[in-house]
Amino acid sequence: MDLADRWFDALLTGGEERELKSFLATTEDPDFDEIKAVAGFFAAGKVIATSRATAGADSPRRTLHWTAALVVAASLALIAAIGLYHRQNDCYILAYGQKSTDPNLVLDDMTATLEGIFGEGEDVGDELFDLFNPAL
Amino acid sequence: MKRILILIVLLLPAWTVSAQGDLQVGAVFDGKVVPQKAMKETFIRSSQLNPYNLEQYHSVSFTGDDQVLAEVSRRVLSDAGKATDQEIHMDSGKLVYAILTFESANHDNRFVCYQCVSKAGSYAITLVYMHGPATLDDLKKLFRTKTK
Repeated sequence: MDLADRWFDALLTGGEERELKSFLATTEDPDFDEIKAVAGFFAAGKVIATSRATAGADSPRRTLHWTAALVVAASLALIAAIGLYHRQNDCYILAYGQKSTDPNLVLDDMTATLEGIFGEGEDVGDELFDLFNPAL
Repeated sequence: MKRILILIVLLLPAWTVSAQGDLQVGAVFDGKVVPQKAMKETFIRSSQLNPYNLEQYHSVSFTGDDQVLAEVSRRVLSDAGKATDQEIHMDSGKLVYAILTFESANHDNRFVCYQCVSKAGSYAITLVYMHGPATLDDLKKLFRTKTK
């Protein structure tokens, strides 16, 4: 009981405190219930404080990870948006290694090509039409 | 972070794959039959195609020998087997003209047009890939009208 009284007065050495805790862990004497409750309270508080300190030490690293992930995601979104814009608004002629992005030139080339293709189809169609409709 | 990088690596091929990649003629557009420096390529994907009801136009034209003609013809005829509609003209056993239509239920029709003109031992070949809501009749009317 002397150790207990001195523990409350914070007069124990490290060795005496360990001896007291060891005794409290094994005794069933109701006279020591009060000191066991207080010691248990401090032990629980110490565990909570330690876990908070550990979490606090990790949080800057986690924040850094999240920031890096956000930066990467934002960069990818930007690249994707630029890529999508170019994919949806692309217009060029690449002739034997020379590139032109003049929209009028490109459109004229497309028109000439399709007129050439569907113009040929028209001849065949017209011939068949004339063949089956000689009176017209 | 590693998961994000793995996802990006997995998605990149899907991003870069060409629209006509599932067709046999896709290799011609990719320069795998005739080198890209030896052909003229025209590509349009912009609002300029709105009047034609198309979303993409891609054409290549080049000159080739019998071997090139045979390879391109083989690919066109192979794709013709998957087409919903086709117009094919042969001359002396050689493919000279083809229009393949791949109709889609969601109004995104695809077309492959092929034209070959014989030129003193070689062949001037034009290959076109287009897709959009337009129908073949729409395109024919549009480009026939312009020639008249």
